[in-house]
Amino acid sequence: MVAVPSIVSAATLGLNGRVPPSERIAMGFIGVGGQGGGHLFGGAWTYIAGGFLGRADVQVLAVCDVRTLRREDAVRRVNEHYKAHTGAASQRGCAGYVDFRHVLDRDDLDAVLIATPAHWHATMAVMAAAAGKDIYCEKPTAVTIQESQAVRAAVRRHARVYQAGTQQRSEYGGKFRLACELVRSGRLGRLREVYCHRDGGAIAWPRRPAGPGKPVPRDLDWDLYLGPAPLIPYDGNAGAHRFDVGELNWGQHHSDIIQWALAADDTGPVEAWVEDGRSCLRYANGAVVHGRPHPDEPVGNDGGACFVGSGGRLAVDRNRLVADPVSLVREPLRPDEVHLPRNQGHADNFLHCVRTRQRPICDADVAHRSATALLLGGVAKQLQRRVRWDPTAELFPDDAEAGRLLGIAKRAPWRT
Amino acid sequence: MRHRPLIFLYCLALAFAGSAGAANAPAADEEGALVAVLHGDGGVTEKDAACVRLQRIGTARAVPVLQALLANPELSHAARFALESLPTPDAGRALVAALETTTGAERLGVIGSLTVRRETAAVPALVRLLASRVRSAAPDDRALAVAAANALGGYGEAGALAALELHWPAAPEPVRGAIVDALLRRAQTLLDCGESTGAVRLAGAIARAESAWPRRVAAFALLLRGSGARATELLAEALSGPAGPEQAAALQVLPELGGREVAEVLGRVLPELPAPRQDAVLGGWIQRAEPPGRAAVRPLLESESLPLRLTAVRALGRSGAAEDAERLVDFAAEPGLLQTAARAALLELRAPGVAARLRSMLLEARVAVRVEAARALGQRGERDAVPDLIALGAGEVAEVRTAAWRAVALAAGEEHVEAMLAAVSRAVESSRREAAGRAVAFTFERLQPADTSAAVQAWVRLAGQGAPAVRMALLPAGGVLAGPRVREVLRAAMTDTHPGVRGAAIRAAAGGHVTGLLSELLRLAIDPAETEYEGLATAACVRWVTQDGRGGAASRRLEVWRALAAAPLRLYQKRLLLQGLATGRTAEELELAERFLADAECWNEAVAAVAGIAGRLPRSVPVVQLLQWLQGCALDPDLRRTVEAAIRTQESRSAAAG
Repeated sequence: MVAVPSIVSAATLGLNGRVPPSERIAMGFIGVGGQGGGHLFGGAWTYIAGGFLGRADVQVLAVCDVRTLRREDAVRRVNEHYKAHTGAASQRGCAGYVDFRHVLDRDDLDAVLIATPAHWHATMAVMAAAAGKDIYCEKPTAVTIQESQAVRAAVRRHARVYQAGTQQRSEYGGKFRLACELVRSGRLGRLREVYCHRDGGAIAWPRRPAGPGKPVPRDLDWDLYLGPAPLIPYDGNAGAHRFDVGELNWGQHHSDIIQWALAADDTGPVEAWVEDGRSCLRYANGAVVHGRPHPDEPVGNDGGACFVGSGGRLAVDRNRLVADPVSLVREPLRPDEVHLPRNQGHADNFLHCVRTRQRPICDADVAHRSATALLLGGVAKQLQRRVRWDPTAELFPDDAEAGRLLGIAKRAPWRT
Repeated sequence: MRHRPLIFLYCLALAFAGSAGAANAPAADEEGALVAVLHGDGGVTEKDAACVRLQRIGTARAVPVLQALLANPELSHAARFALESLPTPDAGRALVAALETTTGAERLGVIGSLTVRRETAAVPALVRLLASRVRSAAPDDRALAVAAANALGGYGEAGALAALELHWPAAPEPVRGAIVDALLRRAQTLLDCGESTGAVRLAGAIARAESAWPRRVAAFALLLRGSGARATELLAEALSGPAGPEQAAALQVLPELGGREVAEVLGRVLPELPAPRQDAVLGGWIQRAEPPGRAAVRPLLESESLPLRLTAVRALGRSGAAEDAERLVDFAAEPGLLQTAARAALLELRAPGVAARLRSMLLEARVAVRVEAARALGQRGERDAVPDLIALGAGEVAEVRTAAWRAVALAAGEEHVEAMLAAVSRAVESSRREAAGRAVAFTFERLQPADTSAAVQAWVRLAGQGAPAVRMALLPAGGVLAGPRVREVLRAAMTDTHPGVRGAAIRAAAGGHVTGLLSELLRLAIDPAETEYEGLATAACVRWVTQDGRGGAASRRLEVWRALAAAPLRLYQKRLLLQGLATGRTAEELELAERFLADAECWNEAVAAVAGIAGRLPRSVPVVQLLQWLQGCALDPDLRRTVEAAIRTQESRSAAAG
């Protein structure tokens, strides 16, 4: 019987913040390297103080990683944490897994957090949805448009709660939200251009090297690391983004905010092309997104963008929100302007939605559209030419060549 | 083997696909050459690369040779890489045929590619495959059955659906799970095509037959989406009934079910639910296109459940009336999560009459209420309330005064500036004057009034000729403006005999936007007698000619550097100067920075400045030797890295130049 995340909160029960085991959301962590480890344990760079492990409403029951030492270390730290904080006897232990399918097989897990190498994200998300797990998935949420569509469909089909790891809508003091509210409220006048510090991205399977390759380290499951990618000999590179082309890693943070600012969460660009080696996008309202920084604006590099309208410009990143003229941001948001949803943190928003079955701020539909914007830039870069995109039918009209790049064949048995 | 150079060229081109547009245009009979590679006796590496390229340019001509590779364990994936994407029916036919000629992982891969392409011709073979493997306990057979079921879920053919339904009841896990997933996919497709009857039939069957919670949730969600008018009834039952998959599905689907009837149902069931469920329902309701009405929300504000009250406050922000402002201000007056939510709700409340309600609360006895009402009026930009807020700013309670002036700063228009200035004049305590003066400064920064406007003229009169205490409070506002009248007031005040007035003017000039005072600031910076302002002025000079980009021409910039470098600077001034010089890009700036290498006190900063400038200089300026010397001297690892980076930049420039 699957554990059921109750919609009863600890505060309601008057437990002074202590949450009984039956009320905690049981989670499995798939991939506990830099990003996944940050989510799990917290850390200086992460936005989740104390990590998911530090939350009273979460019980971490499974840790999965293809690297033995990393996995075993994470399991030990999780169990030690619970032992120190609650007493080992009162807790179910956390188990380690090399194969994520065994995590998905567990009926007592409510949710998984996927922070594996990028080429795995969508495949795992689709399988997790089919296994009845709610999902927090790191970006990029997919590496092809076809994959992204599959994730959206699977999450909807299985009525799962899905949160993309594009936390800028929730974090950083609300700077991104405010920027999007100001743009959508027309503070810049007619929006003409957006300068996005990162451009499009794509995936490319590796060229098969000649020769037998290097010996696979004993603590690495190379086959499971590769997953949907071709089975090539070990070459010493088991990084999270080794198959990325362009800005696949960071790009979705940027495209997500641009989609939000353009009120395009249910649509997307209509055209993509390459300009000075960087991809550009055009939306149906005429706004052009340049995949490069504004020449006079340093703000925007850290996940942000610079929006240019007929009445001025506004730039935002994780540290700053600036405008020219400055009066554009000095005036507080007024009641008759656009107010976007706010929450108490991206991870908190996910967990709240797991309990209440509401839609997280970056749900699968939102993530699909922001991933598509990123990946369309990648298609233009691969083809080195202009492509048209129909955001309703989600295809390249009359462009069979571009259509070939909608998906990428996966190694068996993996599929989305 | 004769094709090997060509293949390496392809590999190279594809590896740099981002910049190699030429790789996209097929060369003359490129496809023929690639096909020949695949037919030839070359190695796996070459054939793999040929498949990769065929994915981009291949036609029906390449299909037979790719098809032949599908059973090859080493090249099957590469062949599918091409075939899966080729826009020719031949590719589909090849994959269908391969169902009979492949085994194991290769066959699983072929099924995966057929699933992507949705080749209808594959249905009979997939049906047979499912039938033959569905009950097998062998892992390989199960994997095939799972893959076949998954593929069949993507087909609209009656045969596919019939096979799935036929084998579902007796299928063991994990095949059963795959079949349910396939049926759900089929049901969703039917729903998307407007065939809700078929979708509901399938969803209902799954909901009845499956015991696993997630499968039932998925089925009920589909049932609700496809049930049309009946969905309202099902929704009400699920929300009012016991916790279970129906309820989870209802909560999940609630935001997307349209229609007034749904809102009516929600309004009806909401009061009867336990608090946690009310919270979930209300949260979902907020996500709907039409938010919950205040009649449904208001009673929930009194709940004992904090999460529910939080959600109710959020909801009220979207649908509340003027009279709700009072309750929201009450919440805002108490520190905690409710305060944050209530403040946000007060900003969103659009009903007419909200401002009047908030203004009436400015007279309330409770300090916290007055503070929050003032805050809300300011944030909302309620201009009509500004006179009341200015009056409140003269009150007796410091907390209220502060809130009032902050609100004035956010809401005032140019028409209010004279009254604000009058308040500064009238104030008898410096703290009150300063609070009002800060509001004037913020208002100016926000509105950026023209130099000739009545507001600025009034400021010029008072800041230029008022009593010293008033001038001290008002001069900071001049720093945020940039017009000539304002500049003249500041310039005059910078030499005023009253030390407080002079200090206020210098601080405004040093920290603000006003242009044209660089010479005055430079004089202060290099005058050793100006011990109080030399640091502030130096920092301002450096900022003006570097970060802000408003320092004018390069010659002016150099003039400032030279003046500063020639002065008897204190250590912190030298460091500021070197930080500025480090952004330089001329040989003259390098020379100035080099002079400080002889100064042991700021040697590290001088090295960093020299390295910074040297890295930007053209190759014609010989700096590598100097940098190499600094590299040898620098003990600090960060500093050494900075120098090494500059050396690398210079060396790469030399290399690029040939």
